[in-house]
Amino acid sequence: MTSSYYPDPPEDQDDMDERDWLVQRFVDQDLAPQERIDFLTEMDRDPMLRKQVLATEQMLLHSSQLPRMAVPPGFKTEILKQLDSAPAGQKWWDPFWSVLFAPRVLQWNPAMAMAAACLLIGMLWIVKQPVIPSVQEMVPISSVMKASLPPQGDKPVMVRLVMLEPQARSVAVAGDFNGWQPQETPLQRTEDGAWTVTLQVKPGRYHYMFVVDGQEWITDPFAGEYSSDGFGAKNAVLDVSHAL
Amino acid sequence: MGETPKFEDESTLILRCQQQDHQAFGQLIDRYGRTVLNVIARMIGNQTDAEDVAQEAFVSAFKSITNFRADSRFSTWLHRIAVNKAKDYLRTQGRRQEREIFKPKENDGSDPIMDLPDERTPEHGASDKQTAYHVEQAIQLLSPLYRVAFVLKHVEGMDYEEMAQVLGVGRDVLKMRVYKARIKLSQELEWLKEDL
Repeated sequence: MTSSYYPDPPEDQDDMDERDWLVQRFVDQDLAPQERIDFLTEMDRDPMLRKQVLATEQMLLHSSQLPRMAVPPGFKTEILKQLDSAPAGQKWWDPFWSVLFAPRVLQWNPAMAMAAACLLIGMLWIVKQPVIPSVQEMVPISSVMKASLPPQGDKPVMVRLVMLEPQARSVAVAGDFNGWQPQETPLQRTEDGAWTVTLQVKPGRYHYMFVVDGQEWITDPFAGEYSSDGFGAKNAVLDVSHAL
Repeated sequence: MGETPKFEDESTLILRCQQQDHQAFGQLIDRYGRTVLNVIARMIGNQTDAEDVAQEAFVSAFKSITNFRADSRFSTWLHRIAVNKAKDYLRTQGRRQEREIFKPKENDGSDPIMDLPDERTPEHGASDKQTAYHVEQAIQLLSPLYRVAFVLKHVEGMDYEEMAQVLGVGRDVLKMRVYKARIKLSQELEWLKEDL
């Protein structure tokens, strides 16, 4: 994920010489009035500098006039067809959701009320029974992730990711484990505003990012390790085998 | 009488889209389809795949249009989705394949954005078409980090403020990326000076 033709240098001007720096600021019309006069005077005196500025301007002119692809026939139709086949905003669970939460008028009588009371008492009795501890004990990886017992061979382990984003309307995770498809792995909101999901992954190293409100890609601030994503942001790295 | 105006107000179109009006969204596709397609094509360097990614970006935009708030321009919001979709594509494709697609000056039939025009001749220098081809190739050689900054600034003509909103990166950082992209492109296109 990090390789490219040109390595990404640090985001500063250290590797730019002073002349390059001035040329770029001149092109962007970023020089102060006196700097600009000095620069133009220097350009008048130095033909190489003049050539450099002209070549840069020429390159920018060509860039702004590059041929633009036309929208192919059927482009819009195909998009609208996809919208028709998957209505916007409708998830697979929406029909169940609407059945559960659609307001209804409840008709009742004393016999039904007694039956409901018996049911409630029975449920309370069940809840009061001692709970058998879970076999799959969770052990901590970092402050925000927990996983099942150490991996044995290639057997999948359970990993929990946690994101603190109380203002978010939705949080999902995209990474190597789900083909970078955030819609595959939504997180669930807890009462205190944290978002969690438990994944089942084989031991290995996984890059991932959280996606907030379906648009904003955010690096897990509590990940134990990071790597560059090639666009100036960092992917979080989940190293299951190492962390355990 | 009763004829639909040719250009409907954008905020009205967005409101209609938020009420799941596909026809209104079609009008937004008409307005922004070409720009979105071209940004994505230059980011990923492949025309056929760019069409699929651009369609995906529009579908995604429609599905989340209820999240759109009027505190930013619709075009900025849409570009942000498009750029993220292009990043997703590059992530899933991996850099190895990217290198093969963008290998310079090698017409391998992998559907690049531009075809290689006739070679330049000493008598006539480079034609505009040839120059455009080499500029396009040089842009594709930039790292994705610099490429997207350069394309938004100098091919799409965005200002740094809008770029900052699209890419979620500070204005000064973006300036630095554009500067460095320009220097690298000038080095790649050194021969442009010969014609001056």
